[in-house]
Amino acid sequence: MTEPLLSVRGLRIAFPTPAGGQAPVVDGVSFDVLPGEIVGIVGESGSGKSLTARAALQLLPPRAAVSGEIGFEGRDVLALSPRDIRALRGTGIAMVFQDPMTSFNPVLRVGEQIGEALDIHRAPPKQAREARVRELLSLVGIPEPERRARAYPHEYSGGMRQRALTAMAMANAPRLLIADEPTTALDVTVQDQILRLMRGLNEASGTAILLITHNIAVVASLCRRVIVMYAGRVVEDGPVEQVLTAPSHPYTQALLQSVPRIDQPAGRLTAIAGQPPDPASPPPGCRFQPRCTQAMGRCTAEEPPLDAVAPGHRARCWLALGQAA
Amino acid sequence: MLKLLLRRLAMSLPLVFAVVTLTFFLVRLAPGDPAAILAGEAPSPEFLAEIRAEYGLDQPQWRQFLAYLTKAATGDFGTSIYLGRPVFSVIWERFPATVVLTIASMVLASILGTALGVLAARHAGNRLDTVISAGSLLGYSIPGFWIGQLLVILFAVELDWLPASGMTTARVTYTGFAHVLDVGRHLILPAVTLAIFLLTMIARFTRTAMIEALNQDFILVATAKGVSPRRLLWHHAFRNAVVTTVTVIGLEFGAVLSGTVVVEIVFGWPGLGRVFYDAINRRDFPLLTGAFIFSSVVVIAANTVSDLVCAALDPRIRR
Repeated sequence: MTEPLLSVRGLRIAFPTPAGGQAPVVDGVSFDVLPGEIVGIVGESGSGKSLTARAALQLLPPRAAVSGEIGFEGRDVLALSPRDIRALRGTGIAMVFQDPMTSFNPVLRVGEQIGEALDIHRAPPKQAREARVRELLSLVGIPEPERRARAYPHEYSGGMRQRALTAMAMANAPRLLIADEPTTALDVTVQDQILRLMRGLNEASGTAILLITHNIAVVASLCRRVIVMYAGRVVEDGPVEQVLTAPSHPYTQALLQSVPRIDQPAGRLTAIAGQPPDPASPPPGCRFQPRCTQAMGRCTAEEPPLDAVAPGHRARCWLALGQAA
Repeated sequence: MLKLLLRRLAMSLPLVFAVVTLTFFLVRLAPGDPAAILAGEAPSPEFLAEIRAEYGLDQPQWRQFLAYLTKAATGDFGTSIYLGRPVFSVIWERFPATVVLTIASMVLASILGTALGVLAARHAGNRLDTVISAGSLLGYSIPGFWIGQLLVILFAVELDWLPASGMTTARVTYTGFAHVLDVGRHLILPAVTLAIFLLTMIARFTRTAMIEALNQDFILVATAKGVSPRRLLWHHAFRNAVVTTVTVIGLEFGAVLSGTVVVEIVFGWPGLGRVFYDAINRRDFPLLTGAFIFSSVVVIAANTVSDLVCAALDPRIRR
């Protein structure tokens, strides 16, 4: 069995509440990403998926209380000194963010910003750096890289900015690329191009990708494994085919049902009734039980563990685990 | 960039014309008769009429204005009623002292104000930020003539470290570097007094702009790239915030220039501010009008420069 590249164990992220307490927004999250693998994390807004990703680079605001362990190539990321985490950012783990419109510094040229990523870690001579910037821009499919490198972000379209952002993240050939909703702000045809680009990068350079999204279709087209998060917890994980075709957790099932389908008559969109719980006061037992159509006695009394329902496929549900009674 | 400059210059022309028109009539709307002041106590009506005729004050105002415009277009701003010398040469003679004072206080205010603003933003919400913010509110509210007199009392009278007034030491003639040093010593108190208002404005606006810049997504992206905190602060955040700082400096330049009037009186600084003061007291219309127009043109020029600097700093303004 291969050593995992990224190994998250018991990650807990809490924020202070106005009342003076602590609200855990991510609570006991564990998962692995293997070298070269593409893993998706899905969940609705507030499920803690983005915070989990940010914790992997120590990018959370100082008021967040983080505990647990995030292992990357055998080192605990959370314990790294400011100097060491800076050395890891961009080289070991790189990140692509949601909004390509605001991710570039508006007063600096795009080429300059990509070049900066190279400078921080390697400080190549000027000519080599410029050549590498052009190479990166053409790698992500930006035409006329020489001219484009000299342009400012506002002279790029949204799709091109996301490409350039990906190029910037790939500048130091990271082992893991975390893509936080990389396609959310883009229109559908551009989304598809970005996803193809990511798959191409994964195949060409062996960079593992952790894709964070609320869009289950994106997961289906790109990932090998998927992790479903709800209210700060992993509720299901497993191979994409299994999770998407035979979901074990009622939340995953509901998530899949809320995707509009082209082969069925148009009608009202299915939504999951209710609201996600307040992290400061989660419901007793299973966190999904107040919204679950199949909830029963044990669900409110006791929180189910995340356990195997099939080889490599786990779910956090008494029903799926056959222990509902 | 050249296009922007030409556009700004084209916009400035009607502005200058408006300033000339407004100044000309506003100055004459004020109560007081220059002829009466010139003629001294209890003049005969004939003498008054003679003076009025000599300076064209007996003509209808629109005629005076047309005559003024025609001459001003050729660079002739008339003759000072009180001093009896061409207005332009009086202004030109006093201008350097004001330039020295203004530049010194602007440089001081820009450097210190920016540094304090950035420092406050970096420690936003902490005690240091509170101290800087409260201090700048105080500096912003204290009138210049009062702080100027306090500084004189402390540093000139009590401690006797610095001269209380003037631009050079009386009865001693320094040359070369010694002269520069002498002027420098005289410059400190008026420059500090004049700088306080601008300094606090710059600090406040820079702080806000820096906090906004530091909360932008691109700061997070740059952090994730491995950029050091110092570089994040200056290369990424400040490069954005500095546009606001430059705009504030450009806008407040006019306030600083009008501040020189008070500061020059308090410190006996022989600049344009004193010319204003004396011209107002003597109802010296030509000199007052000329000084107003001159200062306005300087302010318009400073604003144009600040716009161009902003465009150079922010590519989004350039188009």
